[in-house]
Amino acid sequence: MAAAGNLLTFVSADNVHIEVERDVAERSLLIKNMLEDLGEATEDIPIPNVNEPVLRKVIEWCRHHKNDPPASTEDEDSRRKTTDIDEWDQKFTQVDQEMLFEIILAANYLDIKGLLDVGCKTVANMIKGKSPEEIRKTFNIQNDFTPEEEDQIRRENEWAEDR
Amino acid sequence: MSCRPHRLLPEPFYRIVDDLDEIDLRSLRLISREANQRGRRRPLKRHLRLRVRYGPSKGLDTLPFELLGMVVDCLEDRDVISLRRVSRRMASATFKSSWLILARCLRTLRTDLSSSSIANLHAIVSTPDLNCIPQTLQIVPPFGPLSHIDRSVLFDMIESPTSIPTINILKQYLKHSLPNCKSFEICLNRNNNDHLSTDDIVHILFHLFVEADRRPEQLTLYSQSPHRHPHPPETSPQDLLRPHHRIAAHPDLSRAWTNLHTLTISEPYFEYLRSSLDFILPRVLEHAPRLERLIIIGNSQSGDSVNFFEAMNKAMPVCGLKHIEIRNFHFPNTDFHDWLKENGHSLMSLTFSECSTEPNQSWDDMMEICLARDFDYVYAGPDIRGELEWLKMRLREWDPASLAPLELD
Repeated sequence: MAAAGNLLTFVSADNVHIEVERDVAERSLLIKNMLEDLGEATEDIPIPNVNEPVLRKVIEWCRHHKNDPPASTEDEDSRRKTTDIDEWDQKFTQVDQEMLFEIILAANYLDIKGLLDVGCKTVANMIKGKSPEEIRKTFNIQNDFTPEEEDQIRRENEWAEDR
Repeated sequence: MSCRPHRLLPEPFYRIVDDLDEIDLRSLRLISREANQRGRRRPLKRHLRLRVRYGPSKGLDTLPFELLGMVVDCLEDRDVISLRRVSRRMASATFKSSWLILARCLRTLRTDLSSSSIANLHAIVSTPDLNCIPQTLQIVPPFGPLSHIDRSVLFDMIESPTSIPTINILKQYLKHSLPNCKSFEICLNRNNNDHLSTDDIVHILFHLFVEADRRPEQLTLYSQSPHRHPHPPETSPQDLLRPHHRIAAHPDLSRAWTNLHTLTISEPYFEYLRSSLDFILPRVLEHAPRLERLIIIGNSQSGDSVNFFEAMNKAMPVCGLKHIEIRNFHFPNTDFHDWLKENGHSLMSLTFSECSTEPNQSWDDMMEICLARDFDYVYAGPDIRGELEWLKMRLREWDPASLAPLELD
C-alpha cells in the first residue's frame, strides 16, 4: 500500500511496511535522488538490503538529524580527523556489534553520509588503543598470518611504533 | 547424551521472557506454557527492542574494503599499525595508510650499531618496496656493544672495522641496498664504558663510507649539551692504554666526500665532539668539492664556542662555500671573521639567527669589522642588503639596546 501525502512507505528486506515522513526519508541521498527522478512516490519503496530492525534504527537516526545542514566536502575531511561523536549519536550506537555493522552497511547502501560517519567513528573508537590481539578478540578475527609474515610485519611496524 | 531439564524460578524466567524480542517470544510461546502466559500479558510493542549480544561478531572482518577504509581513515597512526598486524585482510585494508605512515617513519633510519639494531634494519633492507624509502641514517649512542668479542680484540679489529661482523653487515646494506640513503646524522656523545667511544664510531664510519662506496650528500655531526649528561663515564684500565685520539682516516677517505653538499654541526660543545672536530673538519672541508652549505647550530648559553672556531680555523675548505647559516651561537671574538675573510670568496648568503656577542661588542661593531675588512666580495649575493636588514630585525628583537643604525654602502 502506498503512503499518502507527505508519508512514504518503505518495505524492508523481511517484507515489513514502515511509514516514514518524506523529509526524514530524504536524509538518504539514494531515496532523495530516486524521488526527484520519479516525482511523486505512488508505490511502496522496497529497501531490499535492509531488514526491519536495522531500517527502524536508520529511520530513528534520520528523524533525529532531519534538520541538520548538509555536510560539505571540507567538513567531511575535518570530521574524519576526529572521532568525537555527539552524545545522542553515542547513545544511538550503543548496540551490539552485529547491529552496528548492519547500520553501517545500510547507511552506505542508502547513502546517508552522516550516519555512515558516525558508524565508522564508533568502530574506530572500538579499535583505538588496542593491541592486535585485543582487536582480534573484540571483533572475533582469526589471525591468519604465517609466523614468517607476522614477524616481517612486526619488524616493519617497529620502525613506526618507535616514533 | 541426554539433557536434564532445568526449571528456572518464576522471577528470573519472567525477566528473560520480558527481555525477548517479539520474534523470539513467539518462538518461546510455542514451546512453553509459562512463557505463553507471560507473553500474553506483555503489551505488544510496535518498535522492537534491539537485541544486545555481548559476544563479538565477525562484522569488521566482513565489511567491504571501501567501508573498512573509511574506518581506517578515522584511526591514528599507532592504531593503523596495530590493525595492520591483526590479519591478512586487515593488513590489506590498512595497506595504503600504513604505507604512508611507514614511508614517513622510514625516511630516517636509526641504529646504535648493536647487533639487534642492525638486525632490525634487515626487515627494511630485505623488502624491495621499503628499502628505497630511507633517506637518512642516524647513528646514535650507546654504540654497540657490537658482539661478545673481548674488548682488547675489538680494539684491534677497529683498526679495520669492516672485519667486525656487524659492521660488515651494515657495509653490505650500504653497498647493495638503501639506494636513497644519502644523508648521515651522527650523534657524538658521552658513552658508557662498555660501549664503543665516539672516536671509534667516527673511525668506523669513515671506513664504511669508503669501503661501501657510499658518498653522503649531507653529513650532520651533533652532540648534546653537557648539562644533559652531568656524570662523566668511567674509564677502564684498557681504555687508558689506548691513545686519546683514535681516529685514523681511510687512505681513500677523500673519495667519500665527493658528493657532499651540506655539512651541519650542532652543539659542538661536548668534549668528544669538540676534540673529534679537530680531526674531522679539515678532512671533510678540504676534500669536499661540492660542499656549498655549512650550518652551525650552537647553544649560546654555553661559553665554549671558542673551541669550535679553533677547529674551524684549522680547516680550509677546498670548495667555494655559498651559504653559511649560524644559529643560536655566541661569538666570543673575531676568529670567525678572519676565517670568513679567507674562505668566503663564493659566499652568497650569510645567515645569523639568535646569535650573540660579548657584552662590550655590539653587532654593529661585528658587522663593521666584516665590512672594514674588504668584505664586499664576500657579500656578492644579490640580496645581501636584505639579509643584513633581516639580521638587524632579528637582533632588535633580541637586544634592542645594543643596536645603532647600520650604514650600508
